[in-house]
Amino acid sequence: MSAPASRVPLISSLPPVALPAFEGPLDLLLHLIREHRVDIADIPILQITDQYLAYLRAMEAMNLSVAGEFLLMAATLLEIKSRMLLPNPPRVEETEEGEDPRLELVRRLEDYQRYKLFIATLAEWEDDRRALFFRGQGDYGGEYVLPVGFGDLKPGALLKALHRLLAEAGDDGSQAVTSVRRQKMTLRLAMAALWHKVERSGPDGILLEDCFEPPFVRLEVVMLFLALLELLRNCRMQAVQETHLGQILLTMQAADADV
Amino acid sequence: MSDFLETDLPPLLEAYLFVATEPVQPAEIARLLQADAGAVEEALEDMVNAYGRRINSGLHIVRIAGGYQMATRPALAHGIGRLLAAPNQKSRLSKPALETLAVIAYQQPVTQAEIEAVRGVSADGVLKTLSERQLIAETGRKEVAGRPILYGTTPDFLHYFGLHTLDDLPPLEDIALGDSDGEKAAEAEALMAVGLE
Repeated sequence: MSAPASRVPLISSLPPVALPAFEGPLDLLLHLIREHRVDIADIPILQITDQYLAYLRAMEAMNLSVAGEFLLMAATLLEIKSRMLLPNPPRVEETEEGEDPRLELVRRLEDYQRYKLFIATLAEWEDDRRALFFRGQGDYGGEYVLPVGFGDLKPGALLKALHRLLAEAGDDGSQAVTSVRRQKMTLRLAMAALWHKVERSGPDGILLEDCFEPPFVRLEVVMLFLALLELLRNCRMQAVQETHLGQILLTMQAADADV
Repeated sequence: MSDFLETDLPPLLEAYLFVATEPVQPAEIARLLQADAGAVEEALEDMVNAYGRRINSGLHIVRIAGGYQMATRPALAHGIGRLLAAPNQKSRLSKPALETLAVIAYQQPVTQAEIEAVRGVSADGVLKTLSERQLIAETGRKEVAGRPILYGTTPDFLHYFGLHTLDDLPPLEDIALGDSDGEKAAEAEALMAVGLE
């Protein structure tokens, strides 16, 4: 959407105001339709699409990030636009191909508009209801006492029971802090352990598989193996494998002078 | 059938309404008292009317969330609010929250994807907020690929909006599509902000 906003000259002199303007793409479309006083059932798709894209460019120009859902709607509009520009196929299959490509969008817009209108009613009810006060939850009464009877379980009843129990339990003053113990196994420790093992085995050396003692802990195996690689890299020991896929023998580095 | 005389019922119900912290359900009362559900309902309705006729009373009884509950009268809202210093008054729901609730209320049980298809925007955060406020709850899983969660409204939803049942919602088709001036003004303001107006 980084195209120059040349077709919408008024955008160049934008006031430095940032506002999250519309709730979503449908909200914006409804506005454009109302603003141009066009029939929702007969949307001039070319005009509305241009307006819609101009709005997105304006958002971009103001460095507002254009949310994905706005782009999705832009794609939908462009698709409808291109289908409207195509010459009508011969009216044989009236049912599918001949259908107005705007129909689906119109249906969505009308649905959305109904909900939008309805929330005004909801907000009124909310206000009316907030003018009423009910008895608060007291300390008396045995409501929400567990176990909740089977079949009597309303949505949220268990949650309320839990809240009640937690409220009764109160704050025990303990902080919600868990200490995570540092892993005992470090690479350095693993290297030392392995090195000692090989050293103790003397000139005969030790088989690699004997270095790993059960029970195998995944982390320890990995660490020991890393330690082995590290020791080999540092020429602190050597590994010999006489036959292909044979056993690997670890011995101390014969002479430091070789390095 | 019942060890309660009909004349015992009204004072008992009044007392129960007084102590109850949630809407009292006629069926539940009838079960506990082994009384006739119809008689209980009738007595409660009588009480609604009796309280409605009272002069100089600060209380009335409302039909709400499928039951009956004693409440302060709306005219006293301001005064009560001051006396209580409104400690627990949660903030009003945002527009996206109301929109999402509306979609769920009408289309329940409904998946997140279906909600998003209607509104054209993501519903992630809003669904979390609404769940936390217990206005919606998971009602199951849709038996399609991925078994997405199905959402529905709760009794708390009805209570929050002062509704008795979901039938109190007007049929969606009846909502007339026309211009609403308030909405228009808000949108004009929004558009002005990006310099298209």
